Amino acid sequence: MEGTLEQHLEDTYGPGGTGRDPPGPGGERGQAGGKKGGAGPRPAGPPGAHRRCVSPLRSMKSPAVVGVLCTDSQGLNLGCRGTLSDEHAGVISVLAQQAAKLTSDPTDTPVVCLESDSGNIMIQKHDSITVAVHKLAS
Amino acid sequence: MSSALTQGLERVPAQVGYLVISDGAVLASSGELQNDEVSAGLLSGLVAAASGLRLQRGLDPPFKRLSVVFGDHSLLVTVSGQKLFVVKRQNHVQEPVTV
Repeated sequence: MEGTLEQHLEDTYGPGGTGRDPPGPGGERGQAGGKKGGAGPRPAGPPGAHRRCVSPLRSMKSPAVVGVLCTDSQGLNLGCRGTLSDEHAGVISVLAQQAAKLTSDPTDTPVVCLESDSGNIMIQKHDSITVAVHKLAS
Repeated sequence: MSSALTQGLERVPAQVGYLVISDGAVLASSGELQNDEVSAGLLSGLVAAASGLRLQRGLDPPFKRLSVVFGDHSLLVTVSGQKLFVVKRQNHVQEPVTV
């Protein structure tokens, strides 16, 4: 069973850490299997949160993607890159939760898109994790 | 007045309903969104929350259109003249290719 949130934060950022920009993929303790940086700290969040956040972080490799963010149901930033940062986690979490109320089907998870001329921010909830991707218009 | 607000919405392809909302109140509605005050309230809240999202470059507002995309339909929301215009559209269904 995972430790307390405080233990997670201390493991990740040390005493008094801010939580901004957690380590990149492969940083999860005991999970990286000898990869570079495998002994690094583990980001805060529910069990498996880091693994589930790695996939959106990989989407940063797409040239059109300029920001990604993962947050939990309480708006805690689990990881972010680029144009999306800590301050956006709360709003992103709320948007996904409110959008889900627009349907009575709990299996029909909506994608919330904030569309503008410059690009889109796409938000979707996956189990307990909400993922946001900021993609520029091609 | 109602027809001036809604004539454009009625012409949206594949639309199955629309709402016009002002200050949380429904000014006009049609189709599957007829008298749907619950959705109107939720969408008003969604727009208010989304308006608070500010990116580094400070787009004001941060979106021109807010879409909520479900499996078979989408709710498309835009803001104009202090009013929310919501259209419910069926998602385009790709017919299977028969080989």
